[in-house]
Amino acid sequence: MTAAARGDRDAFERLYRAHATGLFPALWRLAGGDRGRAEDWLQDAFVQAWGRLDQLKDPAAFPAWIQRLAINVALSDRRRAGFRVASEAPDAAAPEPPWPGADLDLERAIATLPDRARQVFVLFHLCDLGHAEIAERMAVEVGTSKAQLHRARTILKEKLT
Amino acid sequence: MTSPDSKHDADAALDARIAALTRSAEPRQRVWTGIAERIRPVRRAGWPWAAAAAVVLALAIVALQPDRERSSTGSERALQLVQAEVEAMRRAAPVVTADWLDERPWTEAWADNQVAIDELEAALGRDPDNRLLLDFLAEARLRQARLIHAGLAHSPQTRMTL
Repeated sequence: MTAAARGDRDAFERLYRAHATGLFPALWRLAGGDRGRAEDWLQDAFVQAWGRLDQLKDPAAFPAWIQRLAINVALSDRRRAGFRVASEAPDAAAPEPPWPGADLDLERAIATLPDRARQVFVLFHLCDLGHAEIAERMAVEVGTSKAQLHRARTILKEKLT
Repeated sequence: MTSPDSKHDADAALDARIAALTRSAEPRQRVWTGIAERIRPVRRAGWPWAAAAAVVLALAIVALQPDRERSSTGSERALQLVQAEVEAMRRAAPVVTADWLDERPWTEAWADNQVAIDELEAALGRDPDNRLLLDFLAEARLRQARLIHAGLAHSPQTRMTL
């Protein structure tokens, strides 16, 4: 990371290779199964990271830092675009995850959750964030985050039984 | 009516399936290709950055001026930001040379950030009261100021000047 922060693009590519795979599935789920959008977010997050690497003092903090950047990119993009589509009915033709061996029923059920419920669900269960942090990132109350998680889980249980 | 036991079972079953979900997968190669393209150094040799910044700032001021006359709070704030930036640029400009532009990685980051600022200012010119754009612009300008500060501190020529 130190080399990348000095402007070494090969070192930055190694950082990308090491961490992008861990971010992509969560972004794909945050995007409701829109692969192109998830990959755009991933790209934007790493481009932002490149411009800000000098601000990161502790190399060990990079995984959490890049995850935070990626989530912020995703949430701010959804905030801008989301109000147009938030009330739309879930897409019946849910997409297939671009990785092998997926739990298709669950992945599709997650992809078709209502926007906010899906965001909270993914951040809580797949990005391992607590409700306080989710609330802060999404600019909502902690109670709202808990309620959306409960809603997401209830919908998933209904769909999967 | 669902019994507590069956509710618990359903939760446990869901948790087990969530725990088994894929956490790691390869994005397409085009993602890195795009990143590599976007972080590629932008050569601006012979194009004095202070002049470029002045042009951009002047354009931003012109774009924002009509809204100021309408006493819009958002555009006044934007104008203040731009004016503060002009002043900061003026103070920094005399010690920045073309040689400094060839150093890494400050100039690359600066150039990338400048592209972002250009885009934000263009957008702000079209929508001067957009708070989100103003916030992004303020953040980009702060980042630019930090880069300039760091770049000046690292440049041998400017270290002597400083």
